[in-house]
Amino acid sequence: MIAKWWDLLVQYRRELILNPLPGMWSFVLQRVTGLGIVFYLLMHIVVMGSVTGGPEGFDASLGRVQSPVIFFKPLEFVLMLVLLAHALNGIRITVLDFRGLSRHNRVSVAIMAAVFVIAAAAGGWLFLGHILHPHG
Amino acid sequence: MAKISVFRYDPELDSAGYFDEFDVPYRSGMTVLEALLHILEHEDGSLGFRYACRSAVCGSCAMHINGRYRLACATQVSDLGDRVVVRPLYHLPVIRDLVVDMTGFFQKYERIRPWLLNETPLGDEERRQSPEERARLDNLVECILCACCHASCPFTHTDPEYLGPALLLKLDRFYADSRDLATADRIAAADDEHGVWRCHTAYNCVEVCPKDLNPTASIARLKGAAIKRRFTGRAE
Amino acid sequence: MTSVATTSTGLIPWLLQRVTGLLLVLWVATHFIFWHFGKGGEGPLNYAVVSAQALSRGLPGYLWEMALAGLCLFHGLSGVRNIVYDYVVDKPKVAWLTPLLWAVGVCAFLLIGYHLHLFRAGH
Repeated sequence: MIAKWWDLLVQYRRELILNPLPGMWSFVLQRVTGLGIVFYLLMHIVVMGSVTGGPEGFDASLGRVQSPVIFFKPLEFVLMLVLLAHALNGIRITVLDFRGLSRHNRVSVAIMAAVFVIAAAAGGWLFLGHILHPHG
Repeated sequence: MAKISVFRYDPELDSAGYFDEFDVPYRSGMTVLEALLHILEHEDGSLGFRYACRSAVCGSCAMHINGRYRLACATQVSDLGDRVVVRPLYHLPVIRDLVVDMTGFFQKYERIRPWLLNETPLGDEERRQSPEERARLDNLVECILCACCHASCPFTHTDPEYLGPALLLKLDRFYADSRDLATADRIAAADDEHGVWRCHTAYNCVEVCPKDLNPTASIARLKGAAIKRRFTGRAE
Repeated sequence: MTSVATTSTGLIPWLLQRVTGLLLVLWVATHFIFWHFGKGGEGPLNYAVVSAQALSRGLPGYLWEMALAGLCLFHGLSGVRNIVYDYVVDKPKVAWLTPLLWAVGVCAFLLIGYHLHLFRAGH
């Protein structure tokens, strides 16, 4: 069973090499970011679930995931990038499908990349502020 | 001189595929097909590949050349850089070298009933179609079934039953034809887990089509028709 | 051969992924911006901060967060199922997958409901 899933990763790699096209990359990105977000969601539920240990339990748990700021704030930034990538790609696919714009895939990828860079930069700037001034 | 690297595989001799390198004297305007014919005639008479019309209308010479699926007869060697790497179509079994087994592809093709379904009696005249109705078939009738899109679609590999972009475009060709009266059947054929719902919009098909057709648009249209039929019961 | 389409064709999951996805763009954006740049940016998050927010927002806020949870879980787990179905094309082989994912989703949803309640109820 594991061999079969390993074969799939090899398969993905082969597909990317044979089709180094923007649409192929964004499809793989959508799948990878999607699985990453599902994993994060389950972790989020577990961490927030520490509230069952009362305020002390919750604060201890959150203290663990929020410090050191220099390590975890960048991770939050990465989370934001993953969410942005998945969301923007999803919007792009939905718009292309429902508006019949399949001919314009490359342009749509370029637009999406531009929006991604702008949003990521804005978010990054805000996160940097948090790293440099942890208490506002 | 043009450097051509060709995938070789003989199931009776080889356990796995490998690449053979050839130096082909370059001539201005040379296509990849001409390079392969030179190799066949002067270097290695055992090289296997398909070709027929040499003018991009039969679809026989579809192969993977330098990063994308193309027709060898319509690809200029001069557009490809220093080295030309030629592989057979993917997602179809390799018979030998660059020749793939298209049987499965054409079996699926027959299953979608790629002919006009119209039981009304044909009188003395042909079945009429307005210019607008005929225009709906533009970018649909030009498909030469070369299978470039089929090979580039990641999902034809993981789901062998998936109709694939070429056949869904053919289905759209008949769905969109005003003379075809089996609209509900066409939509039903598309509305299947091995039909349109296996498409996850990777868009490789649109990029590689040598005829500049748009299978993803056809699939999107059929998805819309399926949704409409599901919620309104109307097949149109 | 004109049969009515059933959900096993993939039409409903496809449609619901798009619908939930678009809703999530707005919902997750507001949730993320609020907790990472808004209140979350005013200092480290702790029980006091989260609880104060939960109480000030009352029942509408609770329902809002539960709706977000439901959308996330549905979209995410449906996506996971979609990926598995792509590679295990013979569906009967993974007939247990849909009930399993529903069980995971419902349990997670109920857990989230309980945790959010704890923030509102205090200890």
